[in-house]
Amino acid sequence: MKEVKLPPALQQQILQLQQLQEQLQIIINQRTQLELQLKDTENAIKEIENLEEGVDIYKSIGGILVKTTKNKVLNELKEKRELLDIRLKSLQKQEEKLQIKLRDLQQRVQEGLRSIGAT
Amino acid sequence: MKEEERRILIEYQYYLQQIEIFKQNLELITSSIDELNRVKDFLDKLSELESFEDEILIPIGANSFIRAKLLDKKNVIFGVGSGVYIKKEIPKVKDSIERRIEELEKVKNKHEETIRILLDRAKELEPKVSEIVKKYEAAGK
Repeated sequence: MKEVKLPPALQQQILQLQQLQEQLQIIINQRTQLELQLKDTENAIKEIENLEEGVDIYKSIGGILVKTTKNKVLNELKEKRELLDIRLKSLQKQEEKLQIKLRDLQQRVQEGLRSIGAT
Repeated sequence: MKEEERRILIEYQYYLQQIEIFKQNLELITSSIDELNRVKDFLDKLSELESFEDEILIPIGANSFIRAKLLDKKNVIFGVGSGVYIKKEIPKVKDSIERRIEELEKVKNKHEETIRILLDRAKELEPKVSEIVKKYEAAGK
């Protein structure tokens, strides 16, 4: 394979492409974490909604479990679900934008490499 | 190095990395299943206790225990996710545990299948990878 010296502008684009890929990976990891938390919260809501009134419910605070009530914990969990949902939607939008930017840059880099005969 | 050779090496490396990731996940899943089985065994043995008067020892770490008595032999405080725990009857807890084990077993089987597929693909590439490595080692001498 012949050695080709890349023009500085193209080198810059490749660097930017790597940075975008790293950013995208971070966002995907964050989204996966949020999706897991959301599923966990939804499971907890489902379990508690099916409980009869008066059943003992506890909430973990630090290392200890504190007694709470069905209504209180349901309100807290629903608020948490709403918050997670908003954060998830915002991350999904960021991810979509980043994907478009990445595809665009990938295309430009490929064209750049073709034009100097590096591929 | 030719483009095709580079592609083979990258693909081979990718399979090895993926196998490693899936193996690590598999270990975590297996240890979760073991833990759930331990709790299930414990709950079975709990019902064998003669009475509430039976003395139990609670581990506090470093092979040390404190003496205690059970307040409730019928219910367990069970985590339902998101840091919330509920009082649940032991048979219901056992059902929940069994369901979790079943779900984890399914994920475990899928992981094992994926590892098998990845290993097959890596094995297919191995002769070509050895050839490439030998070729460049010989050229380097």
